[in-house]
Amino acid sequence: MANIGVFLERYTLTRSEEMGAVLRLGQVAQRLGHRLDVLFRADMYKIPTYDALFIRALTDPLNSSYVAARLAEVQGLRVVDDPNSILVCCDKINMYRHLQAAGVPMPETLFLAEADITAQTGERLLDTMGRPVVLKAPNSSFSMYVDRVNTPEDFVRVGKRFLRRADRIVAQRFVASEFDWRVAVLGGEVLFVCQYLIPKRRWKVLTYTEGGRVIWGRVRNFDLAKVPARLVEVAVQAAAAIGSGLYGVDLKQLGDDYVVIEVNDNPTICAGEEDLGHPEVYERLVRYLAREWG
Amino acid sequence: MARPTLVSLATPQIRETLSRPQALVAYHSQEDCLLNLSGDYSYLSVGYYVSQDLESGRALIHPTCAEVMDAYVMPLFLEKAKRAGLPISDYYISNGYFEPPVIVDTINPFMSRHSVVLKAAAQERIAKSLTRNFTYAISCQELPHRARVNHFHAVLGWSATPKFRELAQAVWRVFGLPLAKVRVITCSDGRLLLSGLQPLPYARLTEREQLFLQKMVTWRT
Repeated sequence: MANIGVFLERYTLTRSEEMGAVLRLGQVAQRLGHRLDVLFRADMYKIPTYDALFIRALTDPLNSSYVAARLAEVQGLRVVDDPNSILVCCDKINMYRHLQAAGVPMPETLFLAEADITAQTGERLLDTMGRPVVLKAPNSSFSMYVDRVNTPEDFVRVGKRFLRRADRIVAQRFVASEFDWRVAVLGGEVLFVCQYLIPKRRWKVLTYTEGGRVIWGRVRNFDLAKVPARLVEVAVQAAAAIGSGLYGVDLKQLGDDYVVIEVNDNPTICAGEEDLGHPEVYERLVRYLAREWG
Repeated sequence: MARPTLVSLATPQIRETLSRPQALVAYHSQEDCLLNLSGDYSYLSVGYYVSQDLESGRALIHPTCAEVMDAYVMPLFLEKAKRAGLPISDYYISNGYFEPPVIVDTINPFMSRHSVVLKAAAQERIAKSLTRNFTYAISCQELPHRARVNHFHAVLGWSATPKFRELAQAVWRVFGLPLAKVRVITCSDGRLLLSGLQPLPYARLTEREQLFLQKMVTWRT
């Protein structure tokens, strides 16, 4: 029997579906003869008493989820997300570097420093990468601090805003699509595949209105046996470039081929959404945490 | 759906930053490694990316990005020091509650601050401020009775003040940070407890500290 801890942060649980997934994980763990407890930050001192830790909180190397992951790693627990994956995926500069080193196909990408944020450089980038160009702050999540720019003036305005968060930012060629593929990979194997549909008149899966309202794209699930082999191949290659944990690989489809937009640690798993049509997701997660595979 | 042109499917086309500022990097022959001497290695800062640039080029460099996080994220610093047998005070992670006297450090991406809290009357106000209205965690180190909080500069395992040299050596050996402002708790019996590492930009080194570094390293241009 394995003792599995799930590290949660109350402030990052924004939807009941996220908690629903944790509850289902607990039910499956019990059925398989394991024990699963929810741990909050005040319970961190208990981490050494567990065999595995599953992080289900917003990850960032500067917040307590990273502390929990690192403490668990030092104690020899199996950790999802492991600290190195958090360190790489939470910094898009680092993440794209890993993808580049592994030869993963992706849109043309450029890293910019403060001195590059000028109208002159913006003009040059827009000419070579095409309009619009996507700018990303390296430490953005849930599509925040990701913006399209069409003019050198916008390039400077958005670039300077993003540089308040980090000393480098990402510029990437824009790839238009009606959906993003999301392939979840665990231990080098595909866990589930779905599409996040981009809401009408938007260009990102998750959009925020000026009033602060969140507009989510719908989720469309796919049978693993019926998804294109090339999609799986590229996604697994991208995940392997980061590590051997749990990742949500986002890809754009270009005809019969695929480019990786980003690799996320701590991918969303919501009851009734990502797991729809993939009821085995929880059992595979529990067995992985219990070191029964991977 | 229209197929965008000019997107590479075969090989990614990442290019490095268009402009690359002069980095403070030196070779340390004793350890046969490169040193990032920016001194401020804060997450996603220029100094942090200097280490990442060199790591991605497979260079043996200190500090690595992982070393930076172990040094600058307070509970990780304390845990690593404890496991290395270095003297620290008892500590705990809290949502807001603590019992003074303590040193409280933030654990969140939005601010890096600390507060020495001696009186219980300040507990609620400090907790609310450093947790951002009880949203984020804080790290609390217990302050022994009549202890004082001091700082010193650790420069490649050396300190200009002899009584701190042993700890300066430990900081370099355990944490791999060539430059750090070290916070220590000086107990009433004279014992020194490690309490935290903070950025020490190269420009803030004294002339004596810079001279020490010149003898130890070879600047890389």
